[in-house]
Amino acid sequence: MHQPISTRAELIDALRVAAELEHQLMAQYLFAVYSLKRYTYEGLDPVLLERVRRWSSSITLIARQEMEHLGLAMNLLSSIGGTPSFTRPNMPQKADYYGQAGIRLELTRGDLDTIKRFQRFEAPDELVADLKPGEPVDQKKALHWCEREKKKTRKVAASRAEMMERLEASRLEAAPVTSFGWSSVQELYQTIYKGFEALADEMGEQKLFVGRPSVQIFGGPGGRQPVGSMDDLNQYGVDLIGVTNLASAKQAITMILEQGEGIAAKPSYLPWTHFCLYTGIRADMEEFDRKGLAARPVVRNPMTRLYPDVEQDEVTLLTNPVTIEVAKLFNGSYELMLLMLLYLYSDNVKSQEQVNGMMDGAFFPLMTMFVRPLAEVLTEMPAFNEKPKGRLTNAGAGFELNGDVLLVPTIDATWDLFQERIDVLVAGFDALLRDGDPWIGLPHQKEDGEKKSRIWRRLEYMRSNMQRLAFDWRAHWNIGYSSQ
Amino acid sequence: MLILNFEGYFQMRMATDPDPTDERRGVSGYTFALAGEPDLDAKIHLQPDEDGVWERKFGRGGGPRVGVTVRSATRNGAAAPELAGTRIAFVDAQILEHNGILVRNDYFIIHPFRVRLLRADDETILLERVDWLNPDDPAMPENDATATMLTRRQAKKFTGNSQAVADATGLESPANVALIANRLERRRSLQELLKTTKDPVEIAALESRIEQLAIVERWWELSANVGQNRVINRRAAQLALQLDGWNVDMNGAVAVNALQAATNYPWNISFWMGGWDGDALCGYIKGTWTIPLAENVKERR
Repeated sequence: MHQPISTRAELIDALRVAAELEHQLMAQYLFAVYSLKRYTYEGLDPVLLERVRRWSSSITLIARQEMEHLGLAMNLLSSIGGTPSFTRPNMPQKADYYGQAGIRLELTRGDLDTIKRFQRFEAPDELVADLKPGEPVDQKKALHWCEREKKKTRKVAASRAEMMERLEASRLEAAPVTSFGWSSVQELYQTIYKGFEALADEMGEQKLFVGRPSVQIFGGPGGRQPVGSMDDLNQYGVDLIGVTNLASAKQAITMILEQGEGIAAKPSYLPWTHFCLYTGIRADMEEFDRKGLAARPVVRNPMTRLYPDVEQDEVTLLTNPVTIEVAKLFNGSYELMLLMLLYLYSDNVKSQEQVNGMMDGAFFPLMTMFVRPLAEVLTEMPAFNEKPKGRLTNAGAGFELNGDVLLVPTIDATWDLFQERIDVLVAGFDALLRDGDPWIGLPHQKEDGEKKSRIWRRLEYMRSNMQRLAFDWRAHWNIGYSSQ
Repeated sequence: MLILNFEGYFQMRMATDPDPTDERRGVSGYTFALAGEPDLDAKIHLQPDEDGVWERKFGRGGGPRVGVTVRSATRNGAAAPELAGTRIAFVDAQILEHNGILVRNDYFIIHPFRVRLLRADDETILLERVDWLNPDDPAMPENDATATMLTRRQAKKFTGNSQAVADATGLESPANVALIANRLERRRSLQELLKTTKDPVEIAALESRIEQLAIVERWWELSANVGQNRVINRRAAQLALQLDGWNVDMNGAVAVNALQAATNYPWNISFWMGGWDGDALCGYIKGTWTIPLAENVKERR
């Protein structure tokens, strides 16, 4: 257990670890879900395909909430004067990277072993306390935990206030110390929670919360959405709380713990906690997908090149040259999305039009119209140029970062530098689609009445949209009516 | 002048945010191609016999049935009852915004935009005209359109809890409580249907629909203590959401003209869409197609 936090610097450090962790979890979950079969031509019977679709919906919900947790960690960080950061190590990392927390950082397809790993990430402390490293959670105990509502074995919290009170009273005991820090995600947040309390008590809330709320991103049921016009974040299962004082800081942390492990969650919400969703998917997979057909044969930890910060013998280097180009487009889109988000969290002077444009016209579509579909098509592409040695043959998105993701220091140049990155992506799509259709010969890629493969047509759609984005960026949003 | 007042349910099997707009099965939004159903085609189907329409079962509670028809018509101010019951189609039309890349905040454009009037009881086409985003380049893709081109094709106004929608679709009320009640009633109806369904593929699809409708109730319960601003999930809210203001002077080639319309003048079409039922993948459309007749105008050369 970690020693209590007693300074602002320690709290900032802990929050940066939290942000990095949430980012890593999100990437792993997304990698797994994009490997799951989606289409009627992939050989699953319709009933199993429907189940896989439900698993995918659940995992994407969890991943969105990890994004929410990342956003909350950034808001918490910003609220006390910390510098927002999306820096994280590439994957894979050695098993003890997060010490006793046992969070193995690697990208693996959405099979049963992976789901068990994710279930353990999200497990409440009482279910992992006696487990060895890598050992899955006892499924019977997990099911029992998730069925508390029916069994009424625990006292039911009636309100958010009561939940917070219970969390405070029963879960946040003083923590002893180890060298790394935390034995679980739950403990990390509990330490942060106590740190906020201790520092607010010691220096007063006014002195602790020095960050300006206008450089946070928040929205959802709790209040006005100040960034862009995406007032429906909550409709995507995302609820970002602005952090301005001790109460809102505690509320943000409580929400993370409710959604993840289900600590102090209302019993009626338990089935929707990350831990219970993964428990349900695991039960489903064990019953209905014993042959492991649900996931495409996607390699582990696919990378376009080796990075100094990874466990190199566990990387799968992509060798198919066309696939590598698509993977680079993914990495470029992903990094640009992070840079834009960082810019939104920065204290740079920006007009409301720029903020709206960045959020609605660039950040959101980068995430949904490029990062995700590129990650999806990669899992249908060959990883290797040569005949594969094993049964895993397909590529995937490595979420590769070349180093720190840093804010562009020159405010005036920011938009031009983003323009350059968008233009590079357009050029990448152009080059990729210029000559022929390298995917037309892959199984099921030729559709009746179509000359081009399914993959080519998806990439062409992305190219057209990236060109539009570049055009609008250059023209300063030559868009149609938008009520703003 | 020929005036055609049309309305009815359309189907639109499309993915919803935050799915990408070319998603074929639906994952992270709330609309899906379920077990046994064809891929999402993202097209607006105003007639039930169009390729791509898939009408779901609703059980005893019933649900929307696709079919947009002319309810009343006038020719030069006089009633034209012979045109009542004729059918409107938007040929291959999609409702587009590309998740904010093309237009923002869901002020959709419809593209391509080719409107057709069919006889009531056969496939005879009476009128058909296209609208071009760019008359100088009719084949221009939508991603090349300027703001001016997009604006004339866009809707203009959202109205939540719309009484006009409730009146059109038969909702008891556009208030949130009524919308929630409607979705819970649909869920009950599907649960009953599930009990009598034997086909495993249909069962799988029904279970998913019931699961989606349960989310509506979960949200409603979670926001029980927040007073007037109680949050309602979009799966329910959109039942009474209206998107109004499509108003297009159709400028393109006339493909069929069996009613002696003036072909060198714009044909105006205005309408709203709303009442979206995400479980049925259907919504309501109501509007007017106003067409100058050759006998009223001197055709331009």
